[in-house]
Amino acid sequence: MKNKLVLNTFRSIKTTFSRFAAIMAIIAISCGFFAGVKVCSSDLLISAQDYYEKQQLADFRLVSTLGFTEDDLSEVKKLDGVEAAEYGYSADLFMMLPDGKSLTVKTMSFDSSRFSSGEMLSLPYFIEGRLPENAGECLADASFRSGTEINIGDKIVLSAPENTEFGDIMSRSEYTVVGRVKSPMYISFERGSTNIGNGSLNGFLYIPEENYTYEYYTDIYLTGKKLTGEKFWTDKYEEASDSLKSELEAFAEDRIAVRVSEIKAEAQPDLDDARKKIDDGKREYNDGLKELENTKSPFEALSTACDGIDDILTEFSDKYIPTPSRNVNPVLPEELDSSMKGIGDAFKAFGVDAPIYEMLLSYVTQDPADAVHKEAAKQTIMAYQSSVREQIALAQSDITEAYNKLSDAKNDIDKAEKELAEAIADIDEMTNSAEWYVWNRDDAFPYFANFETDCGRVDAIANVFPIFFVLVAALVCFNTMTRMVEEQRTQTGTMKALGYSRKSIAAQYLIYAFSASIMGGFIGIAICLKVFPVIIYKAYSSMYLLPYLLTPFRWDYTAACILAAVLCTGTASMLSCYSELISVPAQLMRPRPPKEGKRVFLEKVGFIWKRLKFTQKVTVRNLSRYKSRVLMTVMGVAGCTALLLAGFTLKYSISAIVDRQYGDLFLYDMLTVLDDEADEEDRKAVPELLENSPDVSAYMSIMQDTTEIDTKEGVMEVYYFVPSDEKRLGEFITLRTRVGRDPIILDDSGVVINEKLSKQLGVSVGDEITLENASKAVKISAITENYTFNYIYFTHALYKSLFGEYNNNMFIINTADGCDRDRLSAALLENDSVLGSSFSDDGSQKFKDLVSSLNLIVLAIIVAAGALAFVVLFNLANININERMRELATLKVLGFYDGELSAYVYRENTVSAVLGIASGLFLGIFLSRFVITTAEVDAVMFAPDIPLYCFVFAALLTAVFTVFVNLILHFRLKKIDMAASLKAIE
Amino acid sequence: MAFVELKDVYKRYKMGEVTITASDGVSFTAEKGEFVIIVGASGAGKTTMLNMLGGMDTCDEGQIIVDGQDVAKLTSKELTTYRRYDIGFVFQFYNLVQNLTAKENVELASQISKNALDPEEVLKAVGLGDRMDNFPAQLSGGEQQRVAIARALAKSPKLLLCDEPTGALDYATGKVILKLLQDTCREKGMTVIVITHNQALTPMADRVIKMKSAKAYEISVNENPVPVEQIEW
Repeated sequence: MKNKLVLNTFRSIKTTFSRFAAIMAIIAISCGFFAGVKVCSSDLLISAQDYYEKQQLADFRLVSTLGFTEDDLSEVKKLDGVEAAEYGYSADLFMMLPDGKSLTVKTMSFDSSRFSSGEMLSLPYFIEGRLPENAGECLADASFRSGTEINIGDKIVLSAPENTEFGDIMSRSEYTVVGRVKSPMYISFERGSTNIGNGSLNGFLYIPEENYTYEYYTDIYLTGKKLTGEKFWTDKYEEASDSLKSELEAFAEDRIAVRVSEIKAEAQPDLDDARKKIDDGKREYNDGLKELENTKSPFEALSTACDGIDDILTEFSDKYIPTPSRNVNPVLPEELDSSMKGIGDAFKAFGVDAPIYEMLLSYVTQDPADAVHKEAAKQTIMAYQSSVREQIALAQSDITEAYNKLSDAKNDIDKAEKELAEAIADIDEMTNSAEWYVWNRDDAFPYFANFETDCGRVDAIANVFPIFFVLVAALVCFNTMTRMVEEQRTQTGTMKALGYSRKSIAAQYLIYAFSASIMGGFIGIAICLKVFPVIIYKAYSSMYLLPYLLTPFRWDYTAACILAAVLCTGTASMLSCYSELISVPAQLMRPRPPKEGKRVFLEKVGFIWKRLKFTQKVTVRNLSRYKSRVLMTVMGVAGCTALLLAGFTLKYSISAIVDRQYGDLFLYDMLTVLDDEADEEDRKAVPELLENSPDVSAYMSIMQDTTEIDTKEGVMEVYYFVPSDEKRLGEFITLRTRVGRDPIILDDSGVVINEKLSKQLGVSVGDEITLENASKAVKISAITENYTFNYIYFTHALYKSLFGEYNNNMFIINTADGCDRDRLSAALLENDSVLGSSFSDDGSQKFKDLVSSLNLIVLAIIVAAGALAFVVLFNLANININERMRELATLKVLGFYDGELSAYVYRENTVSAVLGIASGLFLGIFLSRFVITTAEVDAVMFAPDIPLYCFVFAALLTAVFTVFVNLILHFRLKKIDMAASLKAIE
Repeated sequence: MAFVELKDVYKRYKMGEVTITASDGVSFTAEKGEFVIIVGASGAGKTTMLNMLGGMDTCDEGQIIVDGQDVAKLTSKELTTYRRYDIGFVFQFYNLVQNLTAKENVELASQISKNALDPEEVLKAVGLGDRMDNFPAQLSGGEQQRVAIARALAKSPKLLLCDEPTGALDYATGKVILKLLQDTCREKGMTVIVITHNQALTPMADRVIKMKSAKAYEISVNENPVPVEQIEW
C-alpha cells in the first residue's frame, strides 16, 4: 500500500478489531432492523403485485342483472381503457362433501384451453393436481373457510337453493376434484358473502364451462390498459382505476339501453303471438257458444212438447171431448187444439213420422168408457214420447259436455291472458331495474383492500424502532470513536509533527468509521432483508393466502441506511477528533491531563452520603463522571427492555384472545346453521333432535346475519346477533364490560355492541346509531368485551321493530360432558334443513395458529433486543475497561481479588442497567400500546392490558442479558496485565 | 534465613519468534528492615524483577522467597492475597484513582487489608494532613506520590516496593519522597526496595543490587548508609 496513513488505518482495524466489530455490530443491528422491518410491508405488496400480475388478476368485474351477451362482451373489448376482457359464469351453490357436510361455494366457469393459453383472467394458482380434462372434473379451493380440507379425488355434489332450478344453472351436479388451487381474487381467508345458506361463502370451485346452462354470461372480467403493470397500492393505480370505472359506468348505461330495447324487441313477436292466440281462442269460444245455443233450442221445444203430452194425457185420462157425429171434427177448445198442433209440429220437425196430432186428437176424443181404446191410444203416444225423451237426454249430455269443454277453453284463455300480463310486467320490471355493477378490485375481491391496510401496519411499527436504534448507534459510535481518538493522541501528535495535514488525520478516523459502517450496514441489511419479511409473511399467512414471498435486495434502502450510518458515525468521529485536530503537536505529545475528579451533588446531601459504603460512594462518583456512557447504557438497556415488553405484550394480547373469547365469553360449543329456505317440517325437527340428543346439554335458536358497516377505518364486517330468548343468552354468551367485568343485560332499550366496533365507529354507551335498512336509529345500551369479529346484539323484539322480519337461522349449542361430536353433527346433517355445524374449538384453533406464528415475531424481537443490549453493554464495558485500565490495574496491584474487581465495575453497570430497565418498562408501556393498536387487524381486538408477568419477564430477560455481558466482562478483567498497564503513562 | 531471597530467577517473554530474557538467573537476598536499592540502566530487568517480587508477574524458573513463602509457587489467587496483605507498591506515575480524593485513595487500600492503619493517620504521617479531601488533580506531583506512598503504607505491608518513585519528580521533591521512604524504613522497620537508574542514590541504601542485561551482577551491603539529605546528584 502506497499511502502509509491508509495502511496504518487498516492495521489499526486489525489491532483494535473488537472496537471495529462493536461499531459494525451496532450499525448492522440498527440498519438491519430498520431496513428489515421497513421492507416487510413493501415485500408483501411486491409479492402480491407479482402474484396478481402473473395470475392476470382482473382490474374489474362486471355483473349485470340482465346477464351479458356476446355483443356486450365485444363492445367492452372495444373500449379505449380496456386491455382485455373475458366472460365467465358463476353461481353460488351448495356443495355436499362425501362425509355429508354441506357448504356454500361460489362456482366459477373454467376452460382448460383458455387457462393454458392465458386468455383467462384471474388465473387460479395451482397448489397441486392437474387441469380438468372432462366435464365431470373440477378444481377446488385449497383453503376452505370452515377448515374443511378437500382433497384430490374427492367427489362432490352441487345443489341449488330451494327456490331455484338447478338445471337453469348447470347440467351436471357431480364432480371429481382434480386440482387444488388458490385464486388471486381471494387474497385472504374471507370468501365473501352470498344470498344462500348462512350468508357467507366457504370457498370456491372452478367448474368446466360447458356444464353451465345459462343463456347469458354472468360475469365479465377485464383489465385496464393503464392499470396493467401498475402497482395496485399506488395513487396512480387508484386514479386510473377510478377513471376506468367512470368510463365503464357510462358505457354500462348505454349498453343497458341497448339491451332493454333488444329484450323488448326480442320479446315482442312472442307477446304478439300470444296476444293473437288469446284473441283467436276467444273468438272460437264465442262461436262455439253460439252454435251450442242453436243446437240446444230444438231439443228444448221437443222437451216442452213431451211435457205438453204429459199434461194432455193426464188431463184427459178420465174425460174426453165428445165428437158430435161421425166424420165431423169435434169442437176442441182453441187452446188445446193449438197446443196439440204445436206438439204435432214439434215432433214432425224433429223427424218423427207418426201423426202425433191425430193420435192426441183421437186420445182426447176417446171416451174413457172405452178403456181399451183409450189406453191403447195413450200407450202409442207414450211410446213415441219416451223414444223422443231418450233422444233428448242423449243430446242433452252431448251439449253439457260441449259446455264443459267451452268453459275449460275459457279458463285457459283467462290464464293465458294473465300470464301475458305477467310476462309484460316482468319484462318491464327487468328492463326498468336493469343495472350493470362495475366492481373494481376493492369491491370485487374480498379483503383486497384490507391486505394493503394490514401491510401498512407493519410499516407503522417500522417507523418507531429506528429512533431507538439510531440514537443508540450514534451514542455507541461517539463513545467508541472518542476513545479511539484519545488512545491515538500521541500518534496524532506525531503525525502532525511529521507534517501530515488535519485532513489526512481526520481521514484516518473517517476511513475507520466508514468502513465499519459500510460493512456493518451491508451485513445487517443483507441478513435482515431476508429474515424479517419471512417472519412477517409467516405471521400473516394465518390471515392471508399469498402463495409465495419475494425478498429482493433493496439497493435504495441499503444505500439510504448506509448513508445514514456513515453520516452518523462520521459526525461522531469528527466531533470526537475535532479537539485534537485543532491542537498543536506539542500539546498532543504531552499526556493529556487526567480528567479531574469531582464531587457529586449527592455528597452535599450529608445524611445519605454518610450512610453509603465506601465502594458505593465510588460508584456514585464514577456514574456521574462517565455520564455519556451511563446514558448510553441506560438507553440501550431501556430500548432492550421496552422491545421485550412490547414483544411479550404482543404475544399476550393475542394469546389471551383465545382463552377469553372461547373460554370466558363464548361459552357455547357448537353452532348449527339452518337453511332459510328449507322445509318447515325439517326445520321443526331440529330442536326436537337437539332436545333428545344425549350430546346436548342446552341449545337456543338465534338469528345471525352478516352485514357490512362503514367506519372510520373502512368497511367492517359485522354480525347481527339476535337470541330467541335473551334471558337465556347468558348460558351461551357472556356479555360484560372488559374493565370491571360488570355483566351486561340485553334488553329492548338498545343494542349491545362490541368494544372494537365502538372504537371504530367512535361511539359510546348512550349514543345512537343508524343501521342500514333499519326503520330508526337505535341506542347503544352497552359495550361488551369481545375479541374476535364484530357483533351487534339485539333482543328479537328490538330487531323486529327495526327490521321487521325475524327468522331464526342458527342454533347455538352447549354440548354435554362426554359428547360425541361426530355423532351429533352427523345426526344434525341428516336433517335436510341443516347446512352444517361448526365447533368453537375449530375457531379457537385458528387463533392458536395465529398465536404460534406470532411466536416467531416475538422471538425476533427478543433476538433483536438481546443483540441491542449485548452490543451496547459489551461495547460500553469494553470502552470502560480500556479507559480505566490503569485504575483497574492499580486496584489489582492493591490486591483486589478478581471478584472484588468485577464487583467494583459491575456496581456501576448494575445501577445503569437498573435505571435502564426501569425507564425501559415505562417506555415499553407506550411502545406496547402502539405496537398492539397498529398490529391489530379489523376482525380482531387484541387484549389491551399489560399483565404483570410481561413486565417481570422483560425485566428479567434484560437482567439476564446484562449478567451475561458482565460475565464476559469478568474474563476481560481477569486478563488485565498489571505490569504493562502501569509501566508507562497512557 | 533472609527475609527476601531470590534464587536463580528466570523470566522469558516470547515476542513472536524472538524470546527475550528479562531475568537471567537473578539471585539476591535482603534482610528485614533493610532499605534496598536496585540500580541499573533502562532495560536491565529491574522492573521485571520487582514485578515478580511483588506478585504482579510470575517467574518461569527459580524461587522467590518472601518471609519464608515461595511466591513463585503461588496461584493467581494466592498472588492476589499476597499483594493484598504483604506488599505495598509505589509507582513512578503514582497511579492514583483520579475520581477519589487523597483520603479515599488511601481508603481504597485500607478497606481490603487486615492490619490496615488509619488512613488519616497515614496521610498525616506523610505530611498531607491538610490535603486529605483533595482530588489527585488538585495535588502536585510530590503530593500525589506521597498519597501513593500513604496508600501503600496504609496496608502495613511486609514489603514496600517502589518503581522509580522519583522518576517523574523534580530534584527537591524527589529528595523529599526518598526521605519519606528512608524514614519509613528506619522508623517502622519496614523492608523497602527501591528501583532507580540513578547510581548516585546508592549510598543511602543498606544494600545495593546492581543489574545489567537481566542479571544482578553485583550485590553489596552498605555498612554505613547516609541520610538522603546528604546526597547530591
